[in-house]
Amino acid sequence: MVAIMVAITIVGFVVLDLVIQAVRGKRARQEQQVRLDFSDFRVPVNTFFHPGHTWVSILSNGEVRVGLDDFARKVIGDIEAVEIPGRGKTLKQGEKAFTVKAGNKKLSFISPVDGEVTGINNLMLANPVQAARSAYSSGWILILKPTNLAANLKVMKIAEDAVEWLRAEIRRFREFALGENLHSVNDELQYEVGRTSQDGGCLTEGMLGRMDEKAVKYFEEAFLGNKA
Amino acid sequence: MLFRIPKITLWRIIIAVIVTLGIYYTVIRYTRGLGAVTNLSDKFPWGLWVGFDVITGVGLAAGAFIIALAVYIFRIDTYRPILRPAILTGFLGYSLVAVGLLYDLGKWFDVWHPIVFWNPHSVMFEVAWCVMLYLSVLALEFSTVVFERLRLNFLKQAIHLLIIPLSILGVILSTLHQSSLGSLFLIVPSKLYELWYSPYLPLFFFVSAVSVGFAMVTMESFLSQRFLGKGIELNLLNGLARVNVLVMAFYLTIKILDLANRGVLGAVLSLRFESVMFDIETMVQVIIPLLLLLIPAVRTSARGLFITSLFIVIGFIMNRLDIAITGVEASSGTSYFPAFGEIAISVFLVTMGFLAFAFAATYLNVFVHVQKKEETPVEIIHDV
Repeated sequence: MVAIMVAITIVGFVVLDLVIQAVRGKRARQEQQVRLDFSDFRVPVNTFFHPGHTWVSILSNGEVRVGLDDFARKVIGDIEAVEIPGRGKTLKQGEKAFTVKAGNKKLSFISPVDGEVTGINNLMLANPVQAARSAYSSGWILILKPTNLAANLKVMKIAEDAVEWLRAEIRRFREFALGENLHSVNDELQYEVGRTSQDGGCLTEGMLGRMDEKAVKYFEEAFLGNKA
Repeated sequence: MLFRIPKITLWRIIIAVIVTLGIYYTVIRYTRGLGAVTNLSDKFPWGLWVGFDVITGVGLAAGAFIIALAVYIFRIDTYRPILRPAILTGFLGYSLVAVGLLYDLGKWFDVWHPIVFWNPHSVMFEVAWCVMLYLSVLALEFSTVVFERLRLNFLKQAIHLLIIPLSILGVILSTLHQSSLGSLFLIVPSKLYELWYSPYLPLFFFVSAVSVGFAMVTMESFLSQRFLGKGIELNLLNGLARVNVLVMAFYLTIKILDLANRGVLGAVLSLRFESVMFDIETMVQVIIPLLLLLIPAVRTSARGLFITSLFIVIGFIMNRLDIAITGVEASSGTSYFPAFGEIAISVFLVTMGFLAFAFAATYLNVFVHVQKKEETPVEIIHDV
């Protein structure tokens, strides 16, 4: 009976916490969106960043691991599905590499390097929401065997350069979200995306999901470099 | 100085009630003795405090030596991000075991006796020494985090020089006393129910401690995420789950072989209370988690890993309590159910462990060590 009593006590505490979390989650969803904290954006020092918001990490066997960066993950929000090319497929730098799905939005990322796909992250296929939250560890997407790495790396940023670049990207995204810099797109779009920004322009996690198709298309072109 | 009243939440109210009751029964226990707060008797001297706080507590803290073995001895650096939380859990777990003993020992003020009055023929003597030494090893291993916080780098460096021998010592001591806790019950072959009594109890105790060690590391990652907002290293936990599948499969195999070898396999089908408890415990501790972890979608999902680990931990606790209490109840000629005071103090000790973990994780560099080393944060841009 003692064993049953202890087991029931533990299960009771877990169930109580689940109820508390469910009530809190419901309240939080009703009250506000999660605000983006810029101090959370991180740049691993050993990682190369492509302007299309993908990262490249060189493995000890010469292959490279590729994923989308923390900035892209945060503005897109929870990634619910990933479409990854199969092993053996050849990719070129700047060509479409993989697609992520968040809510009813689909965004394609371009390949940061030329190479052949030799590995894919099964964790991202099985549980993308959780895996993608650690953008530079469990959130990697695929492994490539590079064919033109030296030339490919020239367009990428690393360490302090990557920090500076990401700061500039955050500023650019804020301007985009506020609709301040969209005259070149069109007035209607400026109105639509400016409207989504809350709290006087503070960015919130997953705010891209609340933008309309035109704004998302613009984001894909201007930030992810996907012209297709 | 500004004093802010903390936000009142349901959990804080529950913790306040637990701590108040814990302090109240502690005062009663130390002023009026064991009889005033427990249902223990000469016929049934080992109850919830020994069964849960000591025997179960030591097993639940096994994650520390497993992760230390992986990182320091086998040099598997992948697991370094969860090393410090695992060692902290181990250190707090063993500290609570020591505190639990101080509650349970009638003459608690004689707790130092094994240090001076040696009885090398006693398994308890071995367990006492191993736990004392291993607690010291864990304190030294975790001291690097404290020295780092106090900026006493020369002391941190000094401990780092000793870390390999310390880790080897930690692994040896853990192996010895995790199994010796099982040896404690080798002297009661006629009193412990046949499904639990086995000459291989030390082996079963050790292997199940390894399995629950993996589960506890997983659980503490989820609890840290839930209450402290720390990130989960899902890929690492996935790796631990894979290894645990092998450990649990091995455990189940040797258990079945042992039951068959002793000719008591048929007793698992008996409707006797002990047999039913044995079946439930085995299902919860091994069979259900093993089946769950064989499904890739469970192994790779945060929720799946959490639920599986919860099964393993609850099953492990049931196993230890069944051996320490359920399995010997019939032969003792009496029945035992803990008094409210015993339950209150056990819950109080576990709560203090959680609070100490939260305190350490808040004020010490328990979680961010590796992240800081490898990553440069983008500073807050004030004009954004």
